[in-house]
Amino acid sequence: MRKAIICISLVLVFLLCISFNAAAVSPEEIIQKMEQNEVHDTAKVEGSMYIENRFGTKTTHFISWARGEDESLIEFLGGDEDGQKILKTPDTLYLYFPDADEIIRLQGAALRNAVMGSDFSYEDMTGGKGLLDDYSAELLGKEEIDGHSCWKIELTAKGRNVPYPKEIVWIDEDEYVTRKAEMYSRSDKLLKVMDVKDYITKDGKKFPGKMIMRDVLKKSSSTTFSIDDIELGVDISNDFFSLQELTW
Amino acid sequence: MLYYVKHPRYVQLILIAVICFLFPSFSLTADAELTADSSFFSNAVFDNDFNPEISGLGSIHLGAAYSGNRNLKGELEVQGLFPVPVPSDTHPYIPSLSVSKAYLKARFDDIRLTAGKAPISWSDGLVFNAGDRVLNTSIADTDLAASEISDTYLFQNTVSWYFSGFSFLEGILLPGSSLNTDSAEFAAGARGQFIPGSGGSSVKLESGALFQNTGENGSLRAYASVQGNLEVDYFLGIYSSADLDENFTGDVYANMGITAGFYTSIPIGFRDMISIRAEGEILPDGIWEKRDDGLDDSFYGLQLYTDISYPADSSMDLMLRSMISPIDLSAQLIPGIIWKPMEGFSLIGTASIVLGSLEPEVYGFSQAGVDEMPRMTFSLGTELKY
Repeated sequence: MRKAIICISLVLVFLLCISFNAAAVSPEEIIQKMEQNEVHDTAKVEGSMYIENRFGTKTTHFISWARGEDESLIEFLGGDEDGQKILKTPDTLYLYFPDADEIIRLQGAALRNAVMGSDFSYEDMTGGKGLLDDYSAELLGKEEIDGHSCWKIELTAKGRNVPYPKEIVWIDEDEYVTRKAEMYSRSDKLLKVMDVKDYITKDGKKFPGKMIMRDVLKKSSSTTFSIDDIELGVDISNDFFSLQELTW
Repeated sequence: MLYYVKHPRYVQLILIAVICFLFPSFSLTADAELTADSSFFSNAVFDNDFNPEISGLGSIHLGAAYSGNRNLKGELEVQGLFPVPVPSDTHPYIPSLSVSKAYLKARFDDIRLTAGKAPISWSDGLVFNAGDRVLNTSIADTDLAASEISDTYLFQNTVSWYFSGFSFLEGILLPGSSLNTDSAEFAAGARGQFIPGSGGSSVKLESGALFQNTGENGSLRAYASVQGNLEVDYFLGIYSSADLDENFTGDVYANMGITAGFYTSIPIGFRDMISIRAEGEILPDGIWEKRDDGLDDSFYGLQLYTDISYPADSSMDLMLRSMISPIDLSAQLIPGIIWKPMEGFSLIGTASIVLGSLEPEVYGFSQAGVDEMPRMTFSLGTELKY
């Protein structure tokens, strides 16, 4: 009997510790840890984008460079989009069309346009400032995604200058990586679902290697964003994220 | 020095030699990515009585792009056009072969050199562009029914200096063959583009000038423009030209034009966006009253262009382009649909609807020389790319 009481007490203490542990981690800390894991000082990524609709699959390859969260340059390779580039600076997003030697600056609502008919918008592709700058976070609990225990966190926009007024993200409890995300409209309508199916580990950090984005308002449509290779800490000159590089 | 300015082709050879000297490892054959694509376009145009004019056109692009060095770029592309036999071909195309791209580009820190037939884009504006007026690329060549407004490639020798990541100065030398005139031997010019700050500014300032040699005398064309964003993307440009004869009698005001326009995307629901582009050109010394006796070489003082497009689906675009002449209250409307059910295959349907005067001088520019103009035509086409 005494042994049973000790066992039950130990189990209770263990469960209590878990719940204290859960309560001890705030949603803001979870988001921060996730961003520390997924955002890098500099990175060079090579990958492919597979756009599927009811007529088939279109494949586009790309190479991208990024510095922190605010600066990135993506170049598309091959196909009709060969040489087209997207430059994101802290304030502006530029598109470059090499055949016309033309630069288009995207601002405002134009950022919501789909990238090459995909399920990603320009805002989705180029990321943005830290989530906590624009969203307040609330921990909704835990759920299992693809066999991984995840924090379920609701992000509510602090202002109107964000792509989605509300997002729900599932962040891996052990790895602090995003497993799934849902994006909602102001009227709480589900707009997009992103599933992360694969992760790449590099230099002790883990980040999404294969993401599938589905615009739920489109029929039979999905876009897979696959990373084939990544280099962290690459040497990028100070003036790399510029029109000079964009138009080259 | 002046000898070389007057003979831009020698400058082109010198620039190419300099690039090859500075990049001794350059070998187009060793590091070239070869590309080849062909497209076939069949088109049926229906006139007022629904009589079809059927034609077929094939094109082949053979290209080589150099990518062996991040500071050196080269591209060579030859385009061949040939008629494709289609039933009842009433309008066969004449075969042709041309060089569509042939250039070398090199960069050394902040300096960039371009030699050959390369894309060129001065100032802003799709149809009414002050920079195009200076370069003399004619809007009469613009096919408003095309799925994309065509790009401009010119033989050129260009040296650019980026004094910041977002601003540069550029000198350019063009051979006479690149200019839309028979009288010019060459043209030499310069332009500068300035974006304050580190690209975050919403304003881009640009200005350029081109001296065109026409034998004993010459002419000078110049423009200045500003582009930015005030809720919508906008641009405003001004250009003029003057003949540089002995007495400098060029009438700057008579040749002046002002271009302006805006572009914006308006969300419909959350996902759908409708894109709206509107552009206009004002010629202060143009004709401001409706003329019934023809416009000769003159133009109406105000022309407008609008383009509304809506991606109804990830594979389908609807568009409505229009050229409007408010002074004689005439217009050409071009509604169209472009459907790309699979990569490389497009179905294109357009109509051309003329409102207002049926005289050939309607719009002042695009219909000059047309003796008989139907009020409405329809065009259905397919395009297949390999």
